[in-house]
Amino acid sequence: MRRFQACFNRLTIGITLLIVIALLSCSDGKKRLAATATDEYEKTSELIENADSSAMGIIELVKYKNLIDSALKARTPIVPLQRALSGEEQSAQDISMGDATFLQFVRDSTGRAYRNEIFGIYPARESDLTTAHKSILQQGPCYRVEMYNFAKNITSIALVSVRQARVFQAAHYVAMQPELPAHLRNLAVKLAVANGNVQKALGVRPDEKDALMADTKTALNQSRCERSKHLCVAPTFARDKKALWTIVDLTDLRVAGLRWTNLGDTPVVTTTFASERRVQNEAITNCFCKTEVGLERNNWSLNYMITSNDGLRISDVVFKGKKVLDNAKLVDWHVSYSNTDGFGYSDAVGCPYFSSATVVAVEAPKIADLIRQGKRVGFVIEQYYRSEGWPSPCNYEYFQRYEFYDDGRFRVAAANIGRGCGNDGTYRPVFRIALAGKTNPVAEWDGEAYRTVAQEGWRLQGPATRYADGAMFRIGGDNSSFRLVPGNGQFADGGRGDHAYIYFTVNKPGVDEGASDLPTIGPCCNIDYRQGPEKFIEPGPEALANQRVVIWYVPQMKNDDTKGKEYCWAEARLVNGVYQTEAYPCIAGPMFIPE
Amino acid sequence: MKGFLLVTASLLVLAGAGCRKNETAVNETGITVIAECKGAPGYLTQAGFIPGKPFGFSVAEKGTTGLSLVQFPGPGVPYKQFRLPGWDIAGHLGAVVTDKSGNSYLIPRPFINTLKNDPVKQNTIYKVDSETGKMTAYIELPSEKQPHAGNPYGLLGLMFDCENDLLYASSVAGSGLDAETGSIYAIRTYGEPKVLATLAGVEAMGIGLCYLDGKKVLFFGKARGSEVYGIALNADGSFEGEPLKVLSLEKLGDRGDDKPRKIRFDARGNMHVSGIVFNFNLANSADKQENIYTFQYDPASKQWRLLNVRKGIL
Repeated sequence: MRRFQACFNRLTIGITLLIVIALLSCSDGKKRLAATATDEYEKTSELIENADSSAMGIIELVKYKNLIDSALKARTPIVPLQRALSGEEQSAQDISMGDATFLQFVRDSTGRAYRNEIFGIYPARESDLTTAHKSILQQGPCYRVEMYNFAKNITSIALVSVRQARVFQAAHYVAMQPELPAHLRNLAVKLAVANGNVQKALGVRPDEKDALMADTKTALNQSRCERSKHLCVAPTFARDKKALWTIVDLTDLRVAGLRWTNLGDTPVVTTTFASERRVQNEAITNCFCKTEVGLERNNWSLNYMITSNDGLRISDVVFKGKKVLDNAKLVDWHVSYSNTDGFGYSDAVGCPYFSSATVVAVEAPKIADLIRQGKRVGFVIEQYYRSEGWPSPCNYEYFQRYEFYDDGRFRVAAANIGRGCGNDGTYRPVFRIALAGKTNPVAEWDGEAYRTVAQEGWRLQGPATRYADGAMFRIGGDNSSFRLVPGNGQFADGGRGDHAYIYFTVNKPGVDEGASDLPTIGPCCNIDYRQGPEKFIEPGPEALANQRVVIWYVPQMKNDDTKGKEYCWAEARLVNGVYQTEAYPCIAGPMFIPE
Repeated sequence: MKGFLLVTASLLVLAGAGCRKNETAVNETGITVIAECKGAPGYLTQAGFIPGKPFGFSVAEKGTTGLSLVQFPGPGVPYKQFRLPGWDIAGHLGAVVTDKSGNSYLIPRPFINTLKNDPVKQNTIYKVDSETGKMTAYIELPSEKQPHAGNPYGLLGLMFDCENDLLYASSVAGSGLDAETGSIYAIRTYGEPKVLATLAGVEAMGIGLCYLDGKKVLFFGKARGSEVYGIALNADGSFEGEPLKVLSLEKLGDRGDDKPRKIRFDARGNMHVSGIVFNFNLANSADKQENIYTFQYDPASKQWRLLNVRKGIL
């Protein structure tokens, strides 16, 4: 089932984009540029995060996948050029596919095949040859053979002398993509035309002949998949004064996103470049970073939005007509590495534009059923943040999840999904949770009874911690209370225990102690309670009696790359010749159970 | 001291500094290249560097925050880092430029997070005095809108015009999603520092300077887009007329949406524009993604034409 995210796809857009810079002069040495550079189409970006089921019926797609499967099993794992070849071209292809230098990157170091394909065979030009090889061109037919490696995003080029039956020059170019073969151009167009989102945007199923410029090199409309580093092209459909870019990911063989752009004065010139990253950034920003989104589901109602620096925030959470939570958010991730003293990072997560986020949202929030033991017991809101190079070393993926149960329980959770800068990392997310109520009396289970927590302070969840049915604390609200249950590996989600620091601070009216978007609250590498919230406690803790209280929750998860025990970790694995990520999240966060 | 070499590390935004008219005239292109003005600081003798060997400022030495002076390792030359107390007061840094006397001017720039770079203090230029080596806040530039948590950046570009001892600085302080409120400032450095002219309403990152057809032009790269604009300068260094778009990095390189981080000119009059991913956030990639785009001016069409794109840091 495809997920489709668009919040402004009903916009009426007909204004030709003009960048007009007018200059106003002032008498004080200041000149002011009145810039009207707004791109009216930026709100039309749409993310398409999963494959389109309608693509399954495309015969050419099925055939192509079979071709890939066959190639991956072949001795030389290369899809040959998909067109009729002359005798010389066939010889050039055969010769190149037997040359060790040209084949240098067709398999990984363990011998597993990458997805490789010959994209083109052309008569060699003098400009293709190094000086040392120029004379070969006079000695008989020479061809330039271009091959693309989908897994590594590498273009390999061989110069072949058919007469000498050898490759005399070969080179490999990282992050370079050759001109597409015709069958992939056609396939891109077919995927675009069949896509339901494209049809919805255009109001009609377009004809294949309506698509402009599916080819990245020879046509005007180029596209990129900068984050995934996949091969992407953009069949484009012109309508009046605008054009719909359909970003087709030919590595994953699906449509990745849409965006309208302005058509210039000539019919095929667009004035804005649409790409994977731009569509992602714009769609997320416009739909989830500017205003809160309301949600009503299963007796719950709440608002959510992605903040600049504090992750996905939920607010005004109501269960069966009763407000239970003012708001909750994820302020920071503190990452420290034990093998190097003081080495680590304080990462904020948040919006892709205008934020202090180190790791930004690259997908829209997902709302899904919460399933336990095969039964739907509630729903979740999930949000992913990802560095562009993830899962390669020193890149990160973070994850937030809010769980809402049909019985009134809720959980505030987050996970790291690797990979970081080493296998000695400890991750400490900093949650800020403000329960509803005019006052929030806090009591702590001491093994026999709940005892009132009299003043601001912190506790560490440790081996000596006492629990009452898993709960450490009881926190009151207006005519209700919740038990706070920290993670101890009991939530059946792979979490191994939170070892959390839990802070209580007074939520003072008129004083901003973290209620607004917080810049980085603490350093990376403190291994004790000094994770940031203590600054709202020290030096003089205030009494909690008759006060609203904020809970700060800082779990501590140690990563592990041991085979079979991976935790806070990720590995890239070859699947069908391209890399996919195997994720080992370490999820942590408290459950709140109503009493 | 001859041979003072200003070399910057990966995060440093160093605009072409200073300008000596007619120093390197490239008549066939209409470009007059501007030489950088790099006086040797007096405190250099404290560094203990081997004379005659290359060294330079760095703002990205591992394990340090702020400014360092580094002698680069080579045959018979060990790596050596020199820092004076207080060279970290501005937090993480961006560009460093130097005047004829060896005074250096620096701008802060947050890195990874804002712990050491308070968002409300990112519009201050710092100075390292040539004689004492002391770093102090030099001038706090006004911003039209208050800095806010949504935009961690303030100053982004800096260059020094040696002909008239002016600093040019670009800032995006206070800018937000729906408000482009940045400015480019022309600041005199003789006497008390003072803003002589402001070009407001523009978010610029890289800035560069050269003579184009005999007229001094300030080039600036947009922080929100991929375009490079040029605006003519008056003799006193103030801005003249309207900025004109001269080129764009859009659709170029392996990303296609790079923003111009830095602009410099080589001896042949070619413009080198470094392009990076920039979205007003602190996203940081382990592998620095930066391209250098080289353009050549065609005086007949008055267009800058792309010569080549290569990986690297300008």
